[in-house]
Amino acid sequence: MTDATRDLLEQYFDTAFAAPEGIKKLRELILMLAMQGKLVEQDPADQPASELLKNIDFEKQRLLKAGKIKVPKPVPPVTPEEAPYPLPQGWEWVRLGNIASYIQRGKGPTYTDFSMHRVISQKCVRWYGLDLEPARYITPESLQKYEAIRFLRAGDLLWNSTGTGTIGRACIAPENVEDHEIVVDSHVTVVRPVLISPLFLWRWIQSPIVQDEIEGSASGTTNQIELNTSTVINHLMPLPPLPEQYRIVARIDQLMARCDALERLHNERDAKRLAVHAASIQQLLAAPSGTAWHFIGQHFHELYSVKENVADLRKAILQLAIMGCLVSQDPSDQPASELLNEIEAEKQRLVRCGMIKAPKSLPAVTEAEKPYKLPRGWAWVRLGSVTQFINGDRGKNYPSKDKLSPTGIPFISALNLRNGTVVQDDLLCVSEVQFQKLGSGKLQKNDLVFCIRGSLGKKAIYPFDVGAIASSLVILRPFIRSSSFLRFTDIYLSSTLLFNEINKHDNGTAQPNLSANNFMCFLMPLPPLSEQHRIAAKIDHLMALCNSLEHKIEAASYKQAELLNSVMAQV
Amino acid sequence: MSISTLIKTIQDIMRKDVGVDGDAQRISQIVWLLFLKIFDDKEQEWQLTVPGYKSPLQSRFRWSNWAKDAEGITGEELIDFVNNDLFPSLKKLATAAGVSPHGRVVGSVFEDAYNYMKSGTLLRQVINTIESDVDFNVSEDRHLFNDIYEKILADLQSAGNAGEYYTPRAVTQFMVDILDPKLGETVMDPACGTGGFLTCAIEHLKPQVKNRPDKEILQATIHGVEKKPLPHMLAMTNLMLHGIDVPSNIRHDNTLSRPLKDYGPKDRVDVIITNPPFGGMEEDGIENNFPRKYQTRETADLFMALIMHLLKHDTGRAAVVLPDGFLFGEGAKTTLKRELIEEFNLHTIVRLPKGVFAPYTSIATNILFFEKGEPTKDVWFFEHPYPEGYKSYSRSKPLEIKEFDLEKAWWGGPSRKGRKTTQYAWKVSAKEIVDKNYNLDAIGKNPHLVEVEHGKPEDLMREYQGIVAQLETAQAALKAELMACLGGKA
Repeated sequence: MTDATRDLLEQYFDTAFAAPEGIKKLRELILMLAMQGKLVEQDPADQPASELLKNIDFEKQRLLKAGKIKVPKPVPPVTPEEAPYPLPQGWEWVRLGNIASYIQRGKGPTYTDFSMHRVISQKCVRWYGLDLEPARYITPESLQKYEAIRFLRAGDLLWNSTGTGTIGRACIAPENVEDHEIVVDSHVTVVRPVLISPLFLWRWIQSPIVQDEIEGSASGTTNQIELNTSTVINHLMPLPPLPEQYRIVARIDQLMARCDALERLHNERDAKRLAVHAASIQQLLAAPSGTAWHFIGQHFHELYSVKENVADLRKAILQLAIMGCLVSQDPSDQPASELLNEIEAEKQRLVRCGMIKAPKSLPAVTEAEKPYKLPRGWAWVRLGSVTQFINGDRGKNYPSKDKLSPTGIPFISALNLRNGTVVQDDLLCVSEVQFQKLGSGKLQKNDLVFCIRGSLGKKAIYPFDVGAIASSLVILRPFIRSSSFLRFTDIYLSSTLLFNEINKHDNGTAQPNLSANNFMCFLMPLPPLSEQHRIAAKIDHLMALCNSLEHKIEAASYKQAELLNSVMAQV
Repeated sequence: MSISTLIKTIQDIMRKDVGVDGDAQRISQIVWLLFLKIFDDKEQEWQLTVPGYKSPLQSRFRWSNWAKDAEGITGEELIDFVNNDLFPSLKKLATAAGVSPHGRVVGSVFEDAYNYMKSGTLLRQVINTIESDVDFNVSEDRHLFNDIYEKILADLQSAGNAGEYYTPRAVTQFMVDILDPKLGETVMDPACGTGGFLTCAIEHLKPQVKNRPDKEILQATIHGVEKKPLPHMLAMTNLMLHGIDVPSNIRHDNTLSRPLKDYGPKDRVDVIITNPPFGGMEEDGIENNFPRKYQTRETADLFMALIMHLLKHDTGRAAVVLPDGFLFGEGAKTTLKRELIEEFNLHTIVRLPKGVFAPYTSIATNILFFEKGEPTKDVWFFEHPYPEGYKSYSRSKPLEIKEFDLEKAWWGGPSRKGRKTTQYAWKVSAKEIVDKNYNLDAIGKNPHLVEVEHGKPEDLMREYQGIVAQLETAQAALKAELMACLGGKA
């Protein structure tokens, strides 16, 4: 590492490692520095690694003579060209075959429900250690076929050797494995190191130098990665003097513990940020004219550094809108009661012309059920008294799957409703003939479509001239065609007030169901028509600001990640 | 050998047989074989304990005489014997005159049984496997039998298709413990499946059985009905294993096929404990057996109507497992719920979390406890919590009986005295239920969970800033250390 890299790291440390993947990268940085010999001082008094290698060879010869191990396969020497990076004085590049007395995959056992002996599978090998919980049991007959050398010993490295997402994960067998005669299955490779620190070997395997290489080696049509035994035997590793191995391992442990603490604080901070925001929004909605808004403004920067809070802010804005707190009231506006009269007159007219059936009468709004106090000029109304509810045709003419095609008249289902609009991809259609057969559920432009079965609450203003609805939806057609009233109804349908009401009908099953009859009775606050117009305009403006806030958050976190990657690439 | 390995071994042998087609037939074959073996074991016992016991089977049809010997008849000879001698003779026991009650039991099992296997050699292998590996006499745990059923259901892959689920043992045990049936009271399960509730009730009553007449009372008071032949066969076998020598009160019938008005006072029972199939649909015409106000195709609702009808006045009590759908549903369900409130004391609803019936279904269920006679004043809800650290139950992490200690401690004994509102339990008055149009689901939401206390934003902000300061210190320290490592070398 050059001085320039070092300065770069120092300068951008805080910003870069605050990125979402920051702590993970920080851990990688620690391991990389460790494996380059930069984490602890070299001690010239330590016996160099070349001497250690001689001792290892000597020990392996002894084991061979004693019949404890098989004749090792010859391992080619490491050439200078192969060395991935320069090592400090006293270190050596070696192959795992050089420093291990035994490298082999396990073999497939015959399993049984219970016995005295367990088989390690890839599931048991975790970065945090060996987890015996998922290990299955082997029959005594099958166990007989395992030679003594295959039983796990303390200090063995277990290395997952197959499958994306699983391969490369490793752990060290703990002290107590020898009491239990444990074997491994054919997906796990056992590496039994001689006279070196097993934990140093494990940290090397964990370092990005090794992990990235394994990940990059995906091959074959299925992209199934395999770690062959021969690859493992020939795998390179930097070997420091033995005392230094122990010092490095201790130092890594210490720094990783600091990373753990950092990670914990990160999570605590993120959770707390959401909590502060939720509490202040709650206070804001409980008393819109209180101090909450001032508080949010004061801490705006911290609170809105994450998208979750912006999403909650949007909800709060919509709720404030239907509480009458978003724009000021104008005493000269025609009150909502006038609007209601107009709606009633229009309804009567439609019935007289035979355009609609006479709607059912809905129960009057009682004082007790009103959720909150409305501003002067507003009124509580039942949703069904201001909009017509139209169910789809769920009878014998309901189009079966094979009647649906990509062209024709749009047949809208909940799948097409996303983020409050009708999305056109995957739009399915029915033929003109089929459409004519449908007895009801036909859409007009500027109808509201709302999902009452399944994904309760998805909705949109219908943008096309013609269409029909699937069985999960219902059409809400305002009795008066006013763009302000349409927009305000749409705002109401997105509000927390409505969702709290809906949640009472969500029974937690996969198909929650809100009956149209119940839905009709929902209470909606109705402002004067001209105020509805002002509210809609205000909402447009505020939502645009929220959008740009979200984009900025995204852009910032993207830049952070870029910076992080570029800094890491220099190391 | 474990049960699952045993069943698998037997199935593997049967797969080689050309006559057996599919798991359903394999299972049915295993079941009658097991029945004969268990019946034979029982006969050995009765010969010693029942004075003057005479086997209803001809000597050569007894398991110990044709099957037990591993070197016994095999091949053509065995198949010929089973198809042309054994089956006709056993089937006859169902209808022939002068057959002892023990014989009737065998007859009713074999009425619907059939030998699917065509190879006598393979049949011999199956018999020998059963003979060498199954010994229900030594088995301390008779619930082994339930394990067999569960394994069978899993293999059939049809569990749930008609709304039939194996009820977890913890649930049956809890319901029986609470209802606490007394010897002499009639206990009934109108959809008894393999008899899980009934065997649980039998075990509960056993300490009260002191002598031979007591035993006869027990035998006479345990009633069950099952519609499907296979579970019925399993239920008979299961009850025999639990000491009911002649389980002739376990009928193979559809309880719903008899018009409701035909059930008279003599059909009424003291205790009903059941998990009716839900989500199932009954065949056309079944609903016509019910008064118009109850008419629906939903099996569980029809069963509820029947259960309410069958309970004795003033003493009848019941515990029934029902899905959330019953609590919020309308139509016939509203009628049922209104009657439950007006004519019954629906005193407690235990709301079980999702996953209790895993892996068959993940829907949330409830246990309704009610008594006939007095109208309901208040309904207590108890929301059963997951144990610490659980997000759901699963096959490997099932609901356990000790979890119900929470409910039992809160229950207040048989008189339900001194119940308190806790974080899991709350009370709703009958009037509130009527006001909500009998939507027990909406009203049965735990009020203690709805309240989210956020705390004051100012306090939380101070805590937030504290954490941020700590974070900065920790990060600065780590940065300094790492930079020192680099500085020393660069």
